[in-house]
Amino acid sequence: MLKKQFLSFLVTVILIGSIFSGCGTGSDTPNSPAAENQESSSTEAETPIASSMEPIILRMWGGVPPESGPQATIDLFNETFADRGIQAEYERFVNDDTGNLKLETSLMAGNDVDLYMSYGISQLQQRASGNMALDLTDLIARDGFDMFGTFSSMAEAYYIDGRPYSLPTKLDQYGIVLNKTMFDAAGIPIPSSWTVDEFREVAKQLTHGEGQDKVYGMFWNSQQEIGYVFGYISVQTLGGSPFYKAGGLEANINDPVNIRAVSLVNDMMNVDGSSPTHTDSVTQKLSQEAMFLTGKSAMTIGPWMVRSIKDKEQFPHDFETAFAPYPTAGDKNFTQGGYGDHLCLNPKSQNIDAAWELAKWYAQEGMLPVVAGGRVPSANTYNPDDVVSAFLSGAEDHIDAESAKNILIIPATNYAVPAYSNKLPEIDKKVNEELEAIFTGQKTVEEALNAANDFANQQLAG
Amino acid sequence: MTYSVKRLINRILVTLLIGGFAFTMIVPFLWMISASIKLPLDVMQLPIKWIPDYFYIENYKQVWNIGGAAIRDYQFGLAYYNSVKIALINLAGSVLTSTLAGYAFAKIKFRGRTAVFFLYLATMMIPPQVTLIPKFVMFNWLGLTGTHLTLILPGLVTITGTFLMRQFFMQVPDELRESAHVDGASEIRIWAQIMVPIAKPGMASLAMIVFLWNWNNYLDALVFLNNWRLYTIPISLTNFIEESVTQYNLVMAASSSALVPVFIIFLIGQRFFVKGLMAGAVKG
Amino acid sequence: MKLSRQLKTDLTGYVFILPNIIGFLLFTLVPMVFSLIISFTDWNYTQGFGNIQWNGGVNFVEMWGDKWFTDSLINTIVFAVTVVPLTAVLALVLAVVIDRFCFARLPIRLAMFMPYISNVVAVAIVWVMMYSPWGPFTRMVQMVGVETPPQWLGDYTWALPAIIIMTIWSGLGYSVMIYTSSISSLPRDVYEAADIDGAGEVTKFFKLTVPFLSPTTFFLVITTFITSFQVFAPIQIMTRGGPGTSTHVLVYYIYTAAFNFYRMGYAASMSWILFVILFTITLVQWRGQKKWVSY
Repeated sequence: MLKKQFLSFLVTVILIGSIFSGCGTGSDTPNSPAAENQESSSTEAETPIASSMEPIILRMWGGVPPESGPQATIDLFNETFADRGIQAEYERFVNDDTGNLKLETSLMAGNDVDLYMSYGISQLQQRASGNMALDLTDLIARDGFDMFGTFSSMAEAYYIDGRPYSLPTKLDQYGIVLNKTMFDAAGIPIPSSWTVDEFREVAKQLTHGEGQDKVYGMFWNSQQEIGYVFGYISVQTLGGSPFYKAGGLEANINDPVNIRAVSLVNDMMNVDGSSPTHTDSVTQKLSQEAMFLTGKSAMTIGPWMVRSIKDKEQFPHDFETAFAPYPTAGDKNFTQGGYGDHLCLNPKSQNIDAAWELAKWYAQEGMLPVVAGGRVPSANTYNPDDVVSAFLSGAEDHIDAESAKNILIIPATNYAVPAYSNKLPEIDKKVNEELEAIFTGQKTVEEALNAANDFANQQLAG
Repeated sequence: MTYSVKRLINRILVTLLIGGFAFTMIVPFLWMISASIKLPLDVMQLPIKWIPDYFYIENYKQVWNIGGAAIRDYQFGLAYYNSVKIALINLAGSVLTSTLAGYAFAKIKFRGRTAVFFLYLATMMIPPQVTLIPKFVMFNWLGLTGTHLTLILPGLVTITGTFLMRQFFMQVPDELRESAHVDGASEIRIWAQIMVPIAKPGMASLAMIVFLWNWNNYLDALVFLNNWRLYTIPISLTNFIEESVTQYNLVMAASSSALVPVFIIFLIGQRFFVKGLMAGAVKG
Repeated sequence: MKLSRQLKTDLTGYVFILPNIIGFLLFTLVPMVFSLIISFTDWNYTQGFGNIQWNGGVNFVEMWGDKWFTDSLINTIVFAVTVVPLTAVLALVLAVVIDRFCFARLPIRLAMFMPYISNVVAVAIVWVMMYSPWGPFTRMVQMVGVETPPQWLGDYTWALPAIIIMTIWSGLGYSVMIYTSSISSLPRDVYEAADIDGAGEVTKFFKLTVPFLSPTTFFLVITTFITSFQVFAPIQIMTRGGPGTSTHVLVYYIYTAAFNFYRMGYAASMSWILFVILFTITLVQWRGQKKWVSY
């Protein structure tokens, strides 16, 4: 009896399967018809690029969830460009190891990506040298696009081997996020500049309570990225590549400024108890949302959760958030910041002209919806007031406008831009391990950073 | 009398003991369900509050985009359909190929079978992370990237499954096959009419495992599929990873929804774990 | 022409495994051979095929001076050598006891299978919470009398054992199910004969059940060895190899080397070391099976 049942079950499954596959597998290529009639199209930008029949459908990949702005931007683009025969679709990848692997294999395959975001200069460098990003020199020259006028001369710092491979669309300018209500209650003014010692003192003052009810002065968010302190504190003194000496051939990890910056974190975690320890952050999977937005920490390292701050339904809180510059561990030679969100074109795209139109439009006009998600545009084509109001939209009553504007939005000068694009990921990994050893009490700051420095020098030599 | 009462008590005690242990294994499942009806900030709260004070059913509505509840359409229904489709095709295909090959390796004394089988086993020993890029390049060259065939074609064959079925057939006494041969039955008839019925428990457990593998296949699907229309459930779960935080409440609502087909397959499969099949087969 | 008997058998055999062979050649062997070639090169896969640079056996020499590799290798061996035997023994005993002495067999089996079917992220997070300072596992250890329990996943000594415990616990259901499907086809008459002879449960377990299930045990030991040597997902979700290198396992490092350091050649060469280890283990077991596996 059971034999027949089983065999018929198997047969049914195969049948169902083949029906499924018949109607599913083939029909999934979104952009093939449009792609073909592209080759003959004119290169003049102002005339409709595609013939009146079918619009080109561009595929733009980015790491930001669509609902944080990109979808609204793309919708706006589709509206604006409808009569010019260009439409776009947004594909989101997670900006982590696996997500970038996915993007890069898709770029290798060719035509499923027309334009995409690179985050950070080492990614950009990888992709430029691997022929995954288009050299924009010709397009810029053809349209007379003014790179340095639209952005600033800092754009050149993001050229690879002297050539532009991306539009640097975003201003990466951050600061300490703080609970203004707690600061006010403790009578502490919001600082406009401070040293690491002053910062440590403030964090101590704001720490109180015990056990599960403890309120910490600071949350370093170290389980997400243990080395934030270099990128936001050391850079102000040492410049954009704090691990390297000038020239980039020698390591500078054990520089006194780095030692002071790391000691700050270590002392706050393990001496003052004014921030959760690294072990706590890891073993309890803490997050900025779980610490800062619940009022369990008065400050945190950066404003990447602007969208969560605004979302009072999912993350209920009743305090006001403000921003302060990063504390300094030495002379303030640079401002923390630079350009981010490097918009690249896929050289294998069959719609390069249309993709270039979208890229220019995105950088110069399209970014207001993503500002609401916390991304500040770097082009000077936006009205600063529009940017500020988009940034605050929906949270006017619980984000301090003045400090948001001064710290995160109004561009500064003399940014600490990264000097060497070909940083070794091995060195980052080693530094992270040594930081872990420091924060868990296995090594002193000097020992660990010296070890990391030796390792880095070996790597740079070999 | 007293003997059987004692037996009964023993049985109850053993059941309680093992049941208690088994209960700890439901804990992640209970946590999944519990997290799936919580607000994001309460998910990671310690000590764990198993039954929250409220039921935030919105999470499920968001995942499935019921009544426009979602902040955007995650296309979870489509991913669900894709996953079911791929998993069922691969279940059927690999159970069939594994049962055929497993039988041949176990019972047909063809030359070179040990060598071929060992070569099979050897390929399991290279981690899939390393063959990922070569596989991708190959699919790209064949023009298959961007279709479900990238998951289906390799999924029709499983080495573990072949191994499992081989071991299963090894346990079957040779006499069965020999007497059928004497009656003049062909090999394929012996396979279909005598061996497959005996192997049903093994096939059933293989089916469950294959379904699960395909259901949870992450890395291949991530790299080989590059369009939301093709995404499977594990890939669509990455929708809930925000820039600064993972929305575990939504991840768990989606994962809980994804368990339904697995339960169904498991319950169907369990029906074939029936005792005494061997005796029946000898007679029939 | 009449085919000889053996030739006919050969043909039949190969026809039976043909579908398997095709799939195997295309989707497994080709990529594998490719990875072998790559292991003798320097290759950043993002730079295309033109970038492949032959470097002889340098990768195979370099790795023995690479602390990340040697630490990973040791951790992986410790992991596999504890997980495999413990899982096999526990699963065998559980499967038999559930089958012979339990009520509510189906719910119990389903429960045991739950960690295997639950989302791996959910399982990992639950264990992160179990191991956290206020988590149930830590509490339990405190109740047993340990006053200051370790920070488990945050502790250089205890992180790997913590992962091992979790892996055994969540993998048991799978092995129990495989055993159960095998137990279903145990020949009843043999047991009845043993009952008539007055054999006790323990005797029957060791004299009948264990030998009869030995092909399944063989299968499980070999496959769990392979999967244990390739453990990856829980490490990536729970510890990312840390703290330090205390849970750094081979495949995690292979993955890091390939996709983080962009050193595909080096990653491939480490995989082939892994291959040699697994191949040797499997070969030894294959040779040894005659002693304890009864078909």
